[in-house]
Amino acid sequence: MTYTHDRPEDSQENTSPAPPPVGRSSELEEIAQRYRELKRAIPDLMFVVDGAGRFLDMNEQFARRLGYSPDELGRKRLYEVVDGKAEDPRQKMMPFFARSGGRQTLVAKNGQRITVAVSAVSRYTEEGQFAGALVVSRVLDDGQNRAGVIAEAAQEMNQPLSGIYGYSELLKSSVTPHDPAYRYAKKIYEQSERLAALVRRIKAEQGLPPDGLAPGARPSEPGEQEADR
Amino acid sequence: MSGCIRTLVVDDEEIICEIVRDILVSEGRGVETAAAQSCQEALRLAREGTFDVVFLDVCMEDGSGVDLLESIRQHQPDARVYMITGYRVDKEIQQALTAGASGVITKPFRVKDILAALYGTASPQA
Repeated sequence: MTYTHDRPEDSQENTSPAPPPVGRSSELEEIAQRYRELKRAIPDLMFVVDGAGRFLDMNEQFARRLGYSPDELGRKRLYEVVDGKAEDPRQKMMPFFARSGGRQTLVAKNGQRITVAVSAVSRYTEEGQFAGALVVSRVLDDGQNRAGVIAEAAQEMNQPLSGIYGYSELLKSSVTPHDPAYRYAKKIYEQSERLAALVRRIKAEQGLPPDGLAPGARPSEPGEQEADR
Repeated sequence: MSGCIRTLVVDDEEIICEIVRDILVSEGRGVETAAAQSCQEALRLAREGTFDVVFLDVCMEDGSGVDLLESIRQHQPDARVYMITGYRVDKEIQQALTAGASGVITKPFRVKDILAALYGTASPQA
């Protein structure tokens, strides 16, 4: 990997790699050349970071879109230009490194929020620590941003819905049918079903696939799993 | 399956870890559960313990569940691993199944989906 930016303060952390065998040199140079061409040609924002979020390399499009010079941005860490709050600021950047990181938000030098669709190739140490990643981000236009926010909100509703479904079923199975709690649990489940139908409708409007059920399947009723066993 | 079933639940959402654990515990048939809310913690548990069934979120905050699946597989080659996802991205589901996942559970899931995975009666794509 070519280090584009000089960072004297980091020099003690970098070790010079051993020179490759002579027969591999031309092959490696060819790969490096293809990487440089890709970096220059693609319209997307492309960068490489190490495990601490330091930029090891980036294309001009990335720096320009954020309003920095490449050198200026090279002195920052990724988590300094990512939107969000976290106790440990490094956690803010971790969603970028999922294989399909979905939509994330960068913050430009002028404070403008830029929503991007992220793809990354990440590497981890044997101990499971994040070691670095090559990230390609596509800037989404305003229409896509709005659709993305709506779709993401709909998807996120699946998290509490899983909890509500599960606990209403557990509650119902823990009491007798004569217990008022049985009826309460059933009502909660039925209302959750209405909410789930709304989520499916929103997702369909956004062109996303429905979730939760295999084709032709139907939702189970509370207590149905006992009958199935 | 006889004896105690050892399970590991991995999801960065606390409510998902809790409900899956509570569903498993409600079985009361010698099911042991451990939970992790980060890839790092999940890997540590996978290195240190032995699990029969793993429930693994596809999109973790600190990394990809599909990548984590491959790491967990190295330590738990015999475990059945079920991916849990709220996104149902076909490409990722296919990657997970190719990487050795036993099946995929989509959110919002029902109690019977979790129990089908626990007892190995779930279809590859719930």
